[in-house]
Amino acid sequence: MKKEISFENATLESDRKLIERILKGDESAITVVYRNNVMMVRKYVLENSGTEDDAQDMLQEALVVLWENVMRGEFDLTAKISTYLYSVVRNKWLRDINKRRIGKTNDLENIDLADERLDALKKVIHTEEYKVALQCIQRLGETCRKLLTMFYLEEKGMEEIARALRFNNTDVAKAKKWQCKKELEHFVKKEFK
Amino acid sequence: MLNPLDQAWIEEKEIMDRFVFGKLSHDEGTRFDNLLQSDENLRIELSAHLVAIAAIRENGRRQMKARIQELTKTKSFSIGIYYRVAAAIVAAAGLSFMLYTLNRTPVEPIAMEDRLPVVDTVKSIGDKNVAKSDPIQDKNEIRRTTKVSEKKMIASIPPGKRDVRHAMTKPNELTLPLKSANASKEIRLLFKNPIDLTAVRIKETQSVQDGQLQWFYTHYANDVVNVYLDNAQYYEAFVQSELKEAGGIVSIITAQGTFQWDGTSKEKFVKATRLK
Repeated sequence: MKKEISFENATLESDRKLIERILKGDESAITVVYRNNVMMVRKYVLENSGTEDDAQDMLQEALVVLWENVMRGEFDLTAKISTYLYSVVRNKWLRDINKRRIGKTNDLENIDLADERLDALKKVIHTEEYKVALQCIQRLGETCRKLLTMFYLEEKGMEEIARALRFNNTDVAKAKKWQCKKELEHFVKKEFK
Repeated sequence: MLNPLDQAWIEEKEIMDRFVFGKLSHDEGTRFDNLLQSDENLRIELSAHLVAIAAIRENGRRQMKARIQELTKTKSFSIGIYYRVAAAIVAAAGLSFMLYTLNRTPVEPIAMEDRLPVVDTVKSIGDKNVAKSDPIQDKNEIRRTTKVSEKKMIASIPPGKRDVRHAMTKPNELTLPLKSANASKEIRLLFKNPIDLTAVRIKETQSVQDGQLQWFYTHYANDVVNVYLDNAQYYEAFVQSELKEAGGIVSIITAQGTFQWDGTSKEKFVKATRLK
């Protein structure tokens, strides 16, 4: 006897598997999500005065937001990925259109959707130091960049970071994180001297 | 200037990071706020910390976006190709339809004054009396002969082959090998939206080969709705499935289980297809 399952549940189940794959760093899962939603986003953006490029851009940014939330463990598994992406794209696109209409072009503010809960961080993105810091990050070593991204963006714990970057223990990872951040701050300060 | 105890507390407890992530306890928050108010250097240090974190986060996002662009670059291209292929198929189908219609259209009536000499000429050709025809009749003969050739060319396509265009699987279309015991039976099913599935009564089916439905479309509110699926995961789920309909409930039986849904809801259909 075959099991009766609703389509809704089947979709959520496949979404859950995709989320697990993203969490494990499987990049092909992102491609699958992209492929599954590209038509929907394209249709929405084109029907709302956008272009093909706008649609691509919106979907890519929405995927970044999805990825970020998944990595932080903040993605609500009771929601369908498509529904989530649609709402992100819609919000972003409406905001983008609004900015275009009033001629305001603050890309940084636009990109920083996921930081809405962090008011303190939102305030600094308008500063000159922030723009310089963005450039200075490229001067850091690969390990430093990876470590800082894992900690401050993906909000991974020190144990996981130590394991992923092959540090002997969490204390070493912590010390390295402190050192990397100080190095970045030093680069920024140097630019302003 | 912070005293060594406060300085050690901030460093050891990672107060600044936890402040940014909103993870300070009430007491810790109060103590940190007090220190911020009383020490300008701490405020400067916090500001530098926030700048660094904001930049790290933004850099991470940009890197991820670049990676996504890279990952989906070929996909976008493929989609472009799909559109081109789809456009070519549509053009080919349109041309086939035009030729088919031409084939079905009765031959344009020929004026009586034109017709008789042509018939006479044909007979004359059979009788090898070509020389009997005058120059005006020859002109008519050429025109008439052209029409016959065109008709013959179209008619030479076997009737069964005319549906070949429908049997071609278009990109983003789902090919469901559904068993259809009775070709005239109406089946309820539609895949339209990449996100969702819903049901509708299929008014026409196309390309039923060996009892299996290869491709179909339906009419809804004066729109032709292609039955397709551009979602690989659903494709995998439904390929080799079997469709059944009973009492307004549609079931697709797959290897994973039976999928059922109500096939009578107009709202569901409108929502999924976004057709008004």
